[in-house]
Amino acid sequence: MMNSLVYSIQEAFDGFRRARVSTFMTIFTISFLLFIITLFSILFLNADRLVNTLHAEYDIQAFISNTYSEEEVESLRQRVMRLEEIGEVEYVSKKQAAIEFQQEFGDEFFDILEENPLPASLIVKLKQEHQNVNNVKSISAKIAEWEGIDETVHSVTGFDLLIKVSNSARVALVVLLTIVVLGSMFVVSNTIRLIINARRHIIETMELVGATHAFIRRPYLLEGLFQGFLGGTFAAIIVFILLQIVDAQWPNLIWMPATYLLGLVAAGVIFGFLGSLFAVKRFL
Amino acid sequence: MRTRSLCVKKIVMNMIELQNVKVTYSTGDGIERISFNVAPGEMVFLVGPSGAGKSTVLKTIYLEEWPEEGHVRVADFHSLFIKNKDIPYLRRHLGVVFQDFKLLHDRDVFSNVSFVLEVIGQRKKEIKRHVLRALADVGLSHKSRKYPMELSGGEQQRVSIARAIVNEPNIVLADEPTGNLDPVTASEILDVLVRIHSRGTAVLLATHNYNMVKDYKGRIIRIEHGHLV
Repeated sequence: MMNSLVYSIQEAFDGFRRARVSTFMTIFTISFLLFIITLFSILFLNADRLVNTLHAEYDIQAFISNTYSEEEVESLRQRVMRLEEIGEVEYVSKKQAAIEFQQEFGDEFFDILEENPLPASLIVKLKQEHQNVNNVKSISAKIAEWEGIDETVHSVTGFDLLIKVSNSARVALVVLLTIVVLGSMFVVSNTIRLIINARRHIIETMELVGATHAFIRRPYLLEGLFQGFLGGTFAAIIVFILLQIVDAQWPNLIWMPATYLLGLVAAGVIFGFLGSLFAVKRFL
Repeated sequence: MRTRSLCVKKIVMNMIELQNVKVTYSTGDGIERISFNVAPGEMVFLVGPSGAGKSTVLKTIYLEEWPEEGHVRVADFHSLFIKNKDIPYLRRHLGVVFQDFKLLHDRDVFSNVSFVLEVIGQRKKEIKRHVLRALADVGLSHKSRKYPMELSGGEQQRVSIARAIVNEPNIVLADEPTGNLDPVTASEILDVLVRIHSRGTAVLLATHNYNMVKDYKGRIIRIEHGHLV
């Protein structure tokens, strides 16, 4: 077993030497495709980040009836807090509301009016795991029905269209990413198939002298794996350099997980291996 | 009881057994009702004109062609019962020499012969010993680092023979081994095969050239239009 494994590894490296151009083409193809996938991933990860930032405003403001006393407001607050999805509830008194209003619009407002027309309110914040548009809408509608609540408002309505667009964009990116991944597997498989096709004479002779299919396949699988590794490493180096350049020009524009570069190498290995597996399966 | 034990003995004795073998190609050519045995250490010449079905007979023995009727047995492998995954192991019992040599042009003579042993997972040291002996047997020790394209046709066929005998098979199948060679070289190749046979290896040699083999000691089987005559 050990001897035949050593033989397979030697054959795989000899394969590099014997078919330099095809080997280079496969490595280049894997690098190029991984680079394209990286561009998509950058869009995907950063589009996600933008949408997440916009989604951060999940507050509901519930305006309290002017007839309600402080105690009654506190019991309302307790009632809201008992809802499973609610993280925290902040009470904004009439006075506080007036101060905030004044800060925004200036002193003239209270010169005109004799009494404070602004209602007290509860600022309701959802727990992180429940923060989504549907929850905001349903909880807002539910609280609005309660006695003592005049009206509820939330800010997700304006985001509806944006969220829909960004969701569609994410779906499109996932679809495109899938197409690129499948396409790259196909290209790698075909490139390796060409290499194997050029060596079918060798494969035929090996079969005639009693080589098992597993034995014949092994050097090609290893070759695909090595090519994938080199392609992935090359792509990782290029992406690393480009990210450094972009970051120097526009700091924090692009965010990538630290493990992404390792992931690129791993993806290269998987592409190379699966590509050659599909290719040899057609022959053996 | 005695008859049964005799039958068993007979089966064990024959290296190769073909029984009513039929193979048909889409062109309509092929072989039919082919039955013969090859005993251990026997020299058999399968003689017939081009297109008579000699190669097809040999191909059914190493199961590149499957008999649609009848059966082939090589050692313990039986065409009716063998699984696809076991065909490589059947072939390891045979050494095959081809008319077109089927050498690998991307590696030297030594590697062309050694890879048969690499295939079966032999140890490096053993491989070297066997390959050097096989190359010495065919008189090519001095050309082990040459590439096939640097050799003459006769020398390439010798490499092919060395490859066929390197794992010490019980039988060597030679399919028109002299077909591409001039008469002098052809006679040298035949001598190499006879020498291998003289050491106890069975040889089944297919040729269209009866005159070339008629003076050699061995059984002659004639084939014409896919039938034994």
